[in-house]
Amino acid sequence: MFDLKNVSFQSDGKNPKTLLGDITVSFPTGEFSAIVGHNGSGKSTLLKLLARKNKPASGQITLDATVLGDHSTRDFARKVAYLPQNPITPTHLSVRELIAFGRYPWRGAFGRYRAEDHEKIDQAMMLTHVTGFADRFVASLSGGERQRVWLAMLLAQDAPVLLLDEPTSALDVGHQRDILQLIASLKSEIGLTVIAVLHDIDMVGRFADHILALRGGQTCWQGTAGDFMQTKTLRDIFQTEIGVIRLPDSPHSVSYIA
Amino acid sequence: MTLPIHRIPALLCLVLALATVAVFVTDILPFAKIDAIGKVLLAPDETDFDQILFHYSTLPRLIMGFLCGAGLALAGAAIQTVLRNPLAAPTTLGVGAGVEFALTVFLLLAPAAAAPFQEAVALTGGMLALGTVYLIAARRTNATLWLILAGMIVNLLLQSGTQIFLLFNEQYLQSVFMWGAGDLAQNGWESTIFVLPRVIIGMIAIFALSRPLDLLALGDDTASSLGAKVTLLRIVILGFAVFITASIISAVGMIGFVGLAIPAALRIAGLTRSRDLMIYSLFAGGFALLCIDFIVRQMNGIGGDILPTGAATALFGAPFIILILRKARIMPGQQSDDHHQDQQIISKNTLSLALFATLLAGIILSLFVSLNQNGLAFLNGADGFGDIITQRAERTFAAIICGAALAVSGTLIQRVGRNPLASPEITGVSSATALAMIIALVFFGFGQRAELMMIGAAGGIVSLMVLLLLCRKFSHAPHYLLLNGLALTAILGALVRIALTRGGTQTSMLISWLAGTTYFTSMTEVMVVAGVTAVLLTVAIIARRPLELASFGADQATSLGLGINGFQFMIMLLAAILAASATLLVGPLSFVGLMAPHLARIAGYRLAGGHLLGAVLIGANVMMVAEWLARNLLYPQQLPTGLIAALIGTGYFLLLAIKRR
Repeated sequence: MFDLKNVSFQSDGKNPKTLLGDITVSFPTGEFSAIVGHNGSGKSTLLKLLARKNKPASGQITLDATVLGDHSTRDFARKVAYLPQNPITPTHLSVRELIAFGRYPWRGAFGRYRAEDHEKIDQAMMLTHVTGFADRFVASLSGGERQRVWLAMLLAQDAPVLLLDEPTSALDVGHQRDILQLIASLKSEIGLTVIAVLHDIDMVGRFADHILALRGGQTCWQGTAGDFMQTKTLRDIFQTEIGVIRLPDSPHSVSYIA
Repeated sequence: MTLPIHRIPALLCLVLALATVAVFVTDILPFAKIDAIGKVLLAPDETDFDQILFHYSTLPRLIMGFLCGAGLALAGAAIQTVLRNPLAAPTTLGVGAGVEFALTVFLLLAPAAAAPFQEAVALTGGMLALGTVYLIAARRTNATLWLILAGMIVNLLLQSGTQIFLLFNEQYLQSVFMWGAGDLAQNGWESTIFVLPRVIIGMIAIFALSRPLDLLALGDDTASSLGAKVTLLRIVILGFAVFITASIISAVGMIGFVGLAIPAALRIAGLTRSRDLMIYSLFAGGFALLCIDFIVRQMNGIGGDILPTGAATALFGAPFIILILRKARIMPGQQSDDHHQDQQIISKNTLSLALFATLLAGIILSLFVSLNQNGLAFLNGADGFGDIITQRAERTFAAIICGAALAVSGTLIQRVGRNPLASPEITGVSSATALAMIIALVFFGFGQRAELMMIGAAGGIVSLMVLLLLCRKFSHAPHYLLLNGLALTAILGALVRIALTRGGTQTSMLISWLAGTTYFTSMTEVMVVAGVTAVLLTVAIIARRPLELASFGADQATSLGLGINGFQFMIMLLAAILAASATLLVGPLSFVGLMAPHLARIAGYRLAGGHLLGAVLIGANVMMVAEWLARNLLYPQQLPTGLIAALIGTGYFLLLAIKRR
C-alpha cells in the first residue's frame, strides 16, 4: 500500500533541521501498523508525510504504486483518511453535521447526499458509540467524546487507509480498548489498512500487526507484535528499563517499568 | 540614575542621535561660515532674512519636532505598559481623534470667552474616546485584539465626525485640515513655549510613577495583591499620557504612528522594564520625528507642495509597523469569542421571517414617512410625489443593498479566515477601495463615477491579494488581518488629509462620500451593485458546504478533498468584489460588514447558508434604519448614512460591553 524509499524530511526556516532521515519502509496492505518511539522521534512527522501534509525533502513515497503527489486532492481523500493529533473543532456544528462531512470526498461541494450516505453516517456513529449525542454541539463534548466523533467522521469517509495520530490519547482505558478493537475488527472485516501513532506499549502489543519504531528521526526497529514485546527490543527502542511478562493463559505479554 | 545598557536599543538611539546632530549641523552650517552661530541661536540680526528665518522658524521647528516625538513616544510607551497591549498608542486607541474632534467642535462653536477652557475640553475629548474604547474591549477573552478593534472603530467614527462637522462650516475647511494633518511648521516661539512646560510636566509625572507602572505590567491580580490601587493608578497614568497627547495635538495637530512604532520597536529590540522603555522611547521618538520632519522639509523644498509631517509619519510608519509586528508574535492565538455551550439547535425560520417583514415594513415607512420641523410628516399625493419617491427610493435601496453586500462580504471573510473579528472594513479592503478612488480623483484627475468605481474595485481586490500573500505563512492569524487594516486605514487617513489640503472643487463631495453618504448615488449604480450582490450571494449560498468545511482548518479540509487554497482565494475574491462595490456606494465607513455577521452568529445562525442569509437580513435592516435616520435626524441637514451606521455599531458594541458587567 504505502511504500517509502529513502525518505527524509527537513524543517522550514533558515537553519533547517533534519527531522527524518533516510526512511525506507513498506506498510503492508490490510494490516494494522503502529508507529512508536519516544517524544520527538518523528512519529507525527512521518504520519504527516503519508497524509501529504508535509512534503519529503528527498526520497519517494508511493501509494498503490503511484507517487503520492500525483493523486488529485479529492482522489486522495477517497483513499486516505487522516486524523491529526489536535484537529480544529468547529464549535458551531452538531455531532451529526460534523460526521456528515466525512462524505464530502464522495459528494463534493454540490452533490446531494443519498440514502447510502446517510446509512454510512449512521453506521459510523453506531460503531463509535456516538449515536447518543448526535444532536449535541461538538463544542460541548469532552475530549474523549470528541475523539470518538472524529473517528466516526473518518469511518464515514469510507477510505481504505486510515492514518491516525494518537487516536486514543484522550480516552479512558475502556474506550481505548473499544476503539482499537473496533479498528482491528474493521481491518479484518473490510480489509482496512491502518497506520497509527500510538503511545501505549501494551495496546500496541495487543492490537498491532506490524510495528515501526523511530529514534531521533531514524528507523530503529521494525517487525511483528510478537517480536516487539521483548525486553531487549523495548529497552533498545525507548532507552528505558522496561521489562516484559508473558501472561499465563494468553498469547500476549504485558510490559512494566523496571 | 544609571541605565542598564541594552545594545540594540542603545545603538538605535545613537544612530538617531547622530542623524539629529547631522540635521542640526546641516541647518546651521550656513551661519558657521559667517561666524554667526551664537547670534543666530540667541539674538538674530533683525536685518538678515536668513537669520530671522532660522531663529523664528527652523529652530523652533527642530525643538518642536523633538518635543512632539518624545512626548508621543513616551505616552505610547506608558499606554502600552498600562494596558499590556503592544499595539496600543495615543492614535490607535482613539485619543488623538477624540482630542481632534473636541478641539474642532470647540474652535468652531465655543464663544471667545470660553478660550481658557480649551485645554480642558481637549483633555476631556481624549479621555472620553479612550474610555469608550476601553469599555468596549474590557473583559473580553481576547481583549488585546478587541482594544485595537474598538480603537479603530472609534477613531474612524471621530475622524469622520470631525470632517462632517467641518463640512457644515466650510469656510474654515482649509486651515483646520492643515492643522489636523500635523503641521510642524513654526513661525515663532509661541507654540514651542506652549508645549514645552506641558510635555515636561507630563513626562515628570509619568517617570515618577514608573515603579507602579512596572507593577501594573505584572497583571492586575499580582499588582493588587502587592498593594497597588490598580484602577486609580491606571487612570492617573493614562490621564497624564492623554494630557501629553492633547497638548501636542492642540499645538500641531495629529501626528500618527510615532507613539505606536517607537515603543513597539524598542520592545522588540529587547527592552522589557517599563522605565528603560520609557527613557529610550523618549529619546528615540524625539530624534526620529525630528529626522522625519527634516526629510519632509527637504521634500517641500523641491516640490513646493506642502506635505504635513503628521501625514508623512503615517505614510512612513504604517508599512514599518507591519514589518515590525510580524516579527513580534506578541498577539494571542486564535480564540473564538463566543462559546455556544450546549445551546439548543433551533430553527431560525421565525426570526428570518420577522427580519424580512421588518425590512419590507421599513422600506415602506422609509419611503412615505419623514421628519421635519413639525414632527413626523407623511408623504401625500400632492406636489412632486413622483420625484420625491424616486429620490428616496434611490437612497433607501442604495443603503439596503450596501448593507447586504457588506454583510455577505463580512460573513465570507470571517468564515474563510476563521476569524470572528475580520471584516472588509477591518482588513482594509474598504480603505483600499477608498484609497484607490481618492488617488485617482485627486492626483490623476479621473472624474467619472464609472471610472472611479472600476479603479476602486481594482484597489480593493489588489489589497486583498497582497493581504492573502502576506498571510500565507501565518494562516490568517487574526492580528495580522487587523494590522493590515490598521496600516491601510492610517495611510488612507494621511492621504485624505493631504488630498484635502490641496483643496479642489470635489473636496466636499469626497468628504461626504468618505463619511458614507448615499446622496450622490444614482439608480443605475444601485441596480448594478444590487445585481452583483445578488449573483455573488447566490454563488456563496450554493458553495455553503465547502464554506462550512473551511471552518475545519486547511489541513482537515484538504484531507476531506477540498482544494483549500484555490477555494479560499475564490471566496476572498468574492468578498473583495462585494466590499468594493458597497464601498463605492456608501464609502468605507459603516462597519456593517463586521456587525451583521457578528449579530447573526449571536442570534444563532450557525451553518454557512443560514449565516449568510441572516447576516444579509440584519445588514440590510441596519443600513435601512441608518439611512432613514441620516436623512431625517437633522433635517434639512443631511447626515452621511455610513457615519450613522458606524454609530449604531459602536452603540451596539458598547451595549454588549455593559451587559457583560
